[in-house]
Amino acid sequence: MSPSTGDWPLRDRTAIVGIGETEYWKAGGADRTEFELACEAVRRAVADAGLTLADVDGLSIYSGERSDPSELAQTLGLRDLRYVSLYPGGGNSACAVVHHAALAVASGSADVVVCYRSICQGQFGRFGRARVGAGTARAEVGSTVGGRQAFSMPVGLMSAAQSYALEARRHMHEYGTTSEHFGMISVACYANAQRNPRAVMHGRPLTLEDHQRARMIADPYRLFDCCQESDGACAVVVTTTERARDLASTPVLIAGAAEGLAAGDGGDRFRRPRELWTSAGLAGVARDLYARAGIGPADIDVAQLYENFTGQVLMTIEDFGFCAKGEGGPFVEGGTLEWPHGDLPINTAGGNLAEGYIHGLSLVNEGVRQLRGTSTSQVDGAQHCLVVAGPSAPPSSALILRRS
Amino acid sequence: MFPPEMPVPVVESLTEPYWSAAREGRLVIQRCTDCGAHRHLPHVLCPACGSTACDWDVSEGRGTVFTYTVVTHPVHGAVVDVVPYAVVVVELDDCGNVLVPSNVVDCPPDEVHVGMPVEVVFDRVTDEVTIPRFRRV
Ligand SMILES: [Zn+2]
Repeated sequence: MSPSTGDWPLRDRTAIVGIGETEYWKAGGADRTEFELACEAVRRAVADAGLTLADVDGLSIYSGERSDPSELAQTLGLRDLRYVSLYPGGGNSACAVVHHAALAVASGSADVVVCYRSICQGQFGRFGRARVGAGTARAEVGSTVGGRQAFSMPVGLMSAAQSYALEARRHMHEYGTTSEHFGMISVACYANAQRNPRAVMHGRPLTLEDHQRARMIADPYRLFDCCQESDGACAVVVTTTERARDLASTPVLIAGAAEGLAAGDGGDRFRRPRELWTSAGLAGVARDLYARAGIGPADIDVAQLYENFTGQVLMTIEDFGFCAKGEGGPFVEGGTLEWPHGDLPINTAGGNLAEGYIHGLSLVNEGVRQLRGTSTSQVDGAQHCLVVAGPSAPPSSALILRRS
Repeated sequence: MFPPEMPVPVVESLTEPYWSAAREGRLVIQRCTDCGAHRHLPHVLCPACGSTACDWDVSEGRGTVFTYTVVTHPVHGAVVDVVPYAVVVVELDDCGNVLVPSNVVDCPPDEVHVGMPVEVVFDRVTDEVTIPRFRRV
């Protein structure tokens, strides 16, 4: 049996039993250190699960995490750690860390695994800036770049927004997608943030006209096509479904989890197969995920789709089969993504764009709230929530969460 | 095109033939000598057949713009006074139609478009490094 077909032995056998988060701030706004934020999010998630810190014996985190597991374990008084995992990448890993936690508890290598992400950019400086000569102060003559950056930085390709804009432009060229289509994604996210007091953009509604009037960052991407930068922390507690039944909290089942990198995809964006230029690179992850969960796109009631940039969300929608390849633009017209009446409400807490950018883990938390029935933009009777981590940033990952 | 503060490529073992050729006014693309597949950016082995044997095929330097962005928000000190500027990805007419990230030197950013025909020019940025860029044809 191929690992991507047939019954996935982990289907519904593991569960998210607790979620926690700090307040979210605009980048640089946190009044505590990154480590303190991490501790707070983990403590809240464990308490939410009805567990104690002494029950936790595993940690699952992703690259760039600066709150070291050994310090966190010691500070919080966790029990003997039996499982620690560090996944590569950034926001592309927000669902992979849950996948790895599920693998650990299902195999018996650990009992209770906590995934966490903490960001305090006032303390450490900003993620996402150009790696060399960062900032906009006058640069000095003589800086050099090696590796594949030798082919991008010297031609002025210096940020994620610019790289992803190249793909968005190609999608527009091939399929007639427009900036307004991208804007409809921003508008849906911002509308949800207005109902979520935790959202950084709460009280800052956005219209499609606002989106179109906003300054250009890297054509075709305008300001509101780009995810914000935030401070804050999130945590997620995973254990077996069997163990979850003894807990006070209502478990949310991990129906499916998948991760991966398409053949030919990778860090060199220029030698990838042509079809990946107009894709989130997630078609294979989607195929595996639906097979593992035993459902298809028509069964998804609500989705949390990582917005690094809006065009990549549109390509995610195509990769996950909600419409045909190239039809993402027409698909998002007419309020399809908007709560409560759209066919596919997305990012119901506001998403990375408008709630807070905690490198995607906040999207997992919102997926759990939807299946507990506690979202501020609750989809009535939601049974399945799709959560997708960073698109076009392989290896990436996704989850299907199921109401228990 | 860009000021002297712009980051300059480091010439490394893998890319030395590329930069040496550019310095002499030739655009070369790495080619597998076992299966003939071209690859760009340069890499240590052929993704098609796994061979590490390669040579460097000389391109005629003509192609079309495959995609582009116009950068208006500078994220690096070297480009603060240069925005808006366009970054293009050129699909070469030869050498396996590989994609080359670059710029179009003689074209206002708002006139760049997908499908625009271009040809290579050589922009000497230091004694050691010349960057292949493009102009409209
Ligand atoms: Zn070969």
